[in-house]
Amino acid sequence: MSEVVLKNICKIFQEKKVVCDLNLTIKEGEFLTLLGPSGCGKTTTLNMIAGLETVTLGEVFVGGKKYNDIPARRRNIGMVFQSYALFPHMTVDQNIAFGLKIQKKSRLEIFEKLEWVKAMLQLMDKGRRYPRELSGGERQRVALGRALVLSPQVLLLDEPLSNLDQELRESMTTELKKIHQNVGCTMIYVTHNQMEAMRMSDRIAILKEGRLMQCDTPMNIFNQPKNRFVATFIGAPAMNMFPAKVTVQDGESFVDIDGIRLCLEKDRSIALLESKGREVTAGIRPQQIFYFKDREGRRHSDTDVDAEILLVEPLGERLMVTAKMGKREMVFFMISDRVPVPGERLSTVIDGRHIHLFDRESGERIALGE
Amino acid sequence: MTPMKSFTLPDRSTVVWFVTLCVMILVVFIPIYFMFKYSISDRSSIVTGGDIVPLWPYHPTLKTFAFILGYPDFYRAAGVSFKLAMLTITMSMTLGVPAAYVLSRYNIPGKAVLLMGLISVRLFPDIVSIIPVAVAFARLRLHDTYFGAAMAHSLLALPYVLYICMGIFESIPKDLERQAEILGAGKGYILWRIIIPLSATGLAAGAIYTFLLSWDEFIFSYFLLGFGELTTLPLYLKHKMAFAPPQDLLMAISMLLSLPVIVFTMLLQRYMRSGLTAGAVK
Repeated sequence: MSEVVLKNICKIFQEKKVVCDLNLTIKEGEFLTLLGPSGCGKTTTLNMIAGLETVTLGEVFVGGKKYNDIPARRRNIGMVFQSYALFPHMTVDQNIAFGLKIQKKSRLEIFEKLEWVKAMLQLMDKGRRYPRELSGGERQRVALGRALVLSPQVLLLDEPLSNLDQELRESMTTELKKIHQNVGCTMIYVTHNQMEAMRMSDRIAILKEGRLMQCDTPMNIFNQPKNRFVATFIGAPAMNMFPAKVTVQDGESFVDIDGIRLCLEKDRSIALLESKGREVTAGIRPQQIFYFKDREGRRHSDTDVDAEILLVEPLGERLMVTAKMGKREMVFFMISDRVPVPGERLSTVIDGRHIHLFDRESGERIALGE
Repeated sequence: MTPMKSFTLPDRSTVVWFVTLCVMILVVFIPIYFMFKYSISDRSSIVTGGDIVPLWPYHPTLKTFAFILGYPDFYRAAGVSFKLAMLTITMSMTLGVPAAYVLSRYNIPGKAVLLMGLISVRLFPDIVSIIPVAVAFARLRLHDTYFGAAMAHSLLALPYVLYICMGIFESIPKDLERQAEILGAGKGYILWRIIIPLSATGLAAGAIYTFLLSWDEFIFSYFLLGFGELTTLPLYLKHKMAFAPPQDLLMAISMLLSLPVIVFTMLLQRYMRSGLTAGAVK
């Protein structure tokens, strides 16, 4: 268990900046997820922490010690690869004990640790099997056990669930979180799957093209995305984005989307007064747009908007509707017994409390009045 | 048998492939068969001519084999061939395996040129490449020695060893080595505990191939050893031919020479195909 600090980390690979000036502190015992689309540098970052790749610039600290020049095999950092990388010529027991054997631990100690890990990962009766005789989930757990048995300072997980089928993935997500609570080891998890990231992490670091976009708790990332990229990347379906303008009338400010004026919360409205005429991007989550019948208890910040239905996708407990608001398309959810048909017009309510505003140019969040 | 209903005519390409295959099998097997036939035919068949169409052995007998195997010269030649083959294996594997590992794992400038250069020895007919080799070896006093001949055979075997081993090493996922490193293993430990065990069958195949190559190599051996004391089996056969012996004797020696080749090739083919790293990843 150790704290990991990345200080101005850069990785330049063939004159291409894969990771760029990354600063990140992973607290002791924390479960942090590096999340981002493929090619964003998350695996490279992980490899640099593991020592599999050199750090071009910057410093890596683990447990207060500089790790830049320490070879991977002396770092005592555990890692689980996407491919599991089980040694095919060794049994489950031999795989798990691999690291202990190198450390020349006594037979008794190896046996005890093996039992402990196998019990935790439900591999008790699999000790003599070879990797090829195991199911995907079991291989996954062996890989995990092989890392955990060495009580690593930090455990790195590189998309460990991506080779499992959907069902197994669900259960392993919960399982991993339990294991983390159980072992209490610092874990850094890499994935491109936001649901996994949201469910498991204490904090999520979102990367794009090697740069850190935002690092915060799942709830904060969802509710206060720092920029347009994070806003659209997190949440399914993606946040509705509209080019908009801040307008002012009678001492109150509005967000104007192609002439449709959306009301805002009082203090936010006041704070935005000075931004009159500013070009912004307005982001509204599908969860904040309601069919007017679904909306209970109207607020000052609600705005009625007419919409024309383009597409209806039933999800069971609710409907996912794609509709046209003015010239723009938006997605929202509807709770209705009757499935509306495309072409139908209906009235929707937009909750102005949760409109996210981003600078049109830079895409940064406009935090006024929050 | 499948019922008539489901029987469909094989398409054209299948037929062409099948016929080609049959022809190829005939081309390969007829000489082997004839060799076998003559080696067990009674010697008198040469005088009598045997059958008009001599397809079947004439009075099959193992007398000729018994005769050869009772002859010390044959054993001496076989011993020389065996020793030479073993030495060739040792040399080409100690050089080839580490080289193949490096070539498969690291990007070295001029790698393609290097590989082409290595295989280029085999682009010329052996009779052409032997001349400079023979001259150089004579100057270095390497002719008529096990070491020299083994070196020459290694020259021939090395490209194959390299290509076979590179193929094997490339089939071992890099993640395995990275994982081992993270678990605390040094380079040597990884090589002995991960790479070698996983490539053992493949390396054995490479070694057997080298053995066969050295075992029935003639031209290089002839120029380097042919005028001295050391006589390999192919040289022994050639030597015997000079006296125009009965063909059953020649064929029996050929048969004994070919036997390891045939057996090993069959074994080898199985190893080449087996999934070496099944279950390693995914």
